[in-house]
Amino acid sequence: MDAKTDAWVEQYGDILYRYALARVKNEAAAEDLVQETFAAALRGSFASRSSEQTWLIGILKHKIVDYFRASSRTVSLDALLEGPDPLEAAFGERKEWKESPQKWRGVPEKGSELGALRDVLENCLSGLPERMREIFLMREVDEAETEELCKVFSLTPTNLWVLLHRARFQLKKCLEKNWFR
Amino acid sequence: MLKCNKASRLISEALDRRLSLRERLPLRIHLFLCGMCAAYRQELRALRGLLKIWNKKVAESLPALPQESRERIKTRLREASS
Repeated sequence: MDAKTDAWVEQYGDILYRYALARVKNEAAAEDLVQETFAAALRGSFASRSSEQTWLIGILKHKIVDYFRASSRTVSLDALLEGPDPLEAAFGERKEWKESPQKWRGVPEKGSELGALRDVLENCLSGLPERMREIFLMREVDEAETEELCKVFSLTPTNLWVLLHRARFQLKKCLEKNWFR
Repeated sequence: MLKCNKASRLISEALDRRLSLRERLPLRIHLFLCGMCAAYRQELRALRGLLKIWNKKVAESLPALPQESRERIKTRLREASS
């Protein structure tokens, strides 16, 4: 059993750690998440539908959602949903776009093509309210589903979807201002 | 008739849930007729793709699991299973 555990840590430790660290930006927390992932994996059973790595990363993603739930518990999401809706403001009286969306050209498809867009994207992300950014990235990067996010953050599905749409809209505008077009 | 404000909401929600048939058909028709909403859909899809490759890129450029941490994890896992 120990040999298997050690082998797992050797084989998957790096990839899990890097994923966790990219998401939580804290080395101690990332290490804990990796350890919890292995511990949970040892308790569970491997469904052979996916690869071992995919399965482990799946466990890690759930742990990451738990991590964000635990941190900054006091921040209310209501504020993010109150106030004038930026999306309503994008449409005129006839409910058509005030400013026409344009298809983005030259969207990178690989990490190696990102270049300076990486910095622009990170700046735009940091412009989102913290809690909104966290939930948005859990949806987009960790692929957390509606049910899990609503349960963990006490949101109705509708409110979650409004939150995600606002995040997307704000990012889109920021990226258009600073990169595309 | 589906207008752009509602269509844009459905375009975003389609990224988060399965739209019902009653939602999908009017949206598809609207997208066929409305270049602006079709562009919006492309933008949101492109954004999703971008975020995935961005995260991968960030992770790849981070350091590996430090040796100390590696040993710590192994020890803790051994303790837990004993």
